[in-house]
Amino acid sequence: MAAVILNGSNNDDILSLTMARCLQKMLSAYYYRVSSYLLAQEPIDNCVRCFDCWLKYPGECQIADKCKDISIKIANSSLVVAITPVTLGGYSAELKKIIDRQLPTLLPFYDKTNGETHYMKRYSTNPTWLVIGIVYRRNEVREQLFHRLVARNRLTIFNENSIAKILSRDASAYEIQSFLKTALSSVGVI
Amino acid sequence: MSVRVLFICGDTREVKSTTEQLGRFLLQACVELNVSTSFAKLPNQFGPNGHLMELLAAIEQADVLVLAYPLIADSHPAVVVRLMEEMIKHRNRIRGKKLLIIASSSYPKASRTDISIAICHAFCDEMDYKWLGALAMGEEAVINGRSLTQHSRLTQPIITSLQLTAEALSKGHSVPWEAQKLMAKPMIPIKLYEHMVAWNYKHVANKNKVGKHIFAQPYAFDKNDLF
Repeated sequence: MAAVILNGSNNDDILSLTMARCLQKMLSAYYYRVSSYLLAQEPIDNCVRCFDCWLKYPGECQIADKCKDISIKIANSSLVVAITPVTLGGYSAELKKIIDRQLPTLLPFYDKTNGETHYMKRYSTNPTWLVIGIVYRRNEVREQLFHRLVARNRLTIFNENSIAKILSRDASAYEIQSFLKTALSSVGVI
Repeated sequence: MSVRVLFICGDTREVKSTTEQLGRFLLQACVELNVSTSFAKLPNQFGPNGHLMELLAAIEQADVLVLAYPLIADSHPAVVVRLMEEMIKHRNRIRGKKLLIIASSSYPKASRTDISIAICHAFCDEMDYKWLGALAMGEEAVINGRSLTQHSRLTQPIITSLQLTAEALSKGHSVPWEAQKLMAKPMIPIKLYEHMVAWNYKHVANKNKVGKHIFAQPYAFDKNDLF
């Protein structure tokens, strides 16, 4: 089994770096082959909405940067763990760049689930996404927005088992450890 | 003193940008009402200083910010998130603005922009700006970056919506409910739109000689070789 860790926080964010390291160890202990990325350090462009990945080179992004490698790994893994500061209820710009660039993994045709229209997925098996949001101070409205966004992305980009978990920035080392265990168990790793 | 409106185009698409067309039309309607306007397109990447500083200077000069973007993966594009992050960092420099959102979606229903608009509302609160409202549009592919007046029979509700919006902005008012309703109104029946989009993609793919490969899975590799 393979897993990808996407850290969408800043270069100097100790908490997310610690979490990514911890996750790598935990997943390796469960026989996952893990690729971990600190996205702020990777040369990744924004999606330019050219739609060539649908109309000229089906399924392939033509922007030659690190994102293509990451997208290939995502498409071939069973778990993606994304770490992001909860930015106004959404993802950080660094993580959003990767999510925007998942357009090649979709097909240009509509499908409907529970009455909601979305694009069909190109691959029959998509990885489960565990999206970990880090909050500076608790804000119920923004946390609910974050959960809604991940739930919406379940239909469009992630698979149906994907979930969002929120961790407070002031969590202790013990709390982080137990949070990660619970989070991994909720996506069926542990 | 007249209101100064800055339209920020959050679409990274270089050609055929519907967001840009909406902005150009709105600004033209504002100019006709003697409103001072300016246009800024978000760069694909914010350089260390250049683009960001220019943009912040333009924001500083404006009274009303119109932030417009296409929906990507159920929320606003990464470049707009980045702009918000930077504006929060520099909030002391750019206080006391009014914010209007224009969100367009290629999904049939305008309501799909709801989460992104809620995030923009949170941004407005964070910046302590005055919320002027949000215009949400579905069926973006009907316009597909063409001028709004090119198919004015289809785009008439959008044209009227933007005219009403310009009028409200000229007085510093919030966007009227009527304008929001008109913008959200489907330009063509939803079923027809869904068929039109599917047909168009197949047609263009065929023209590009990749029609047979439209379902290709180029990212599927032998997993053992990858990790």
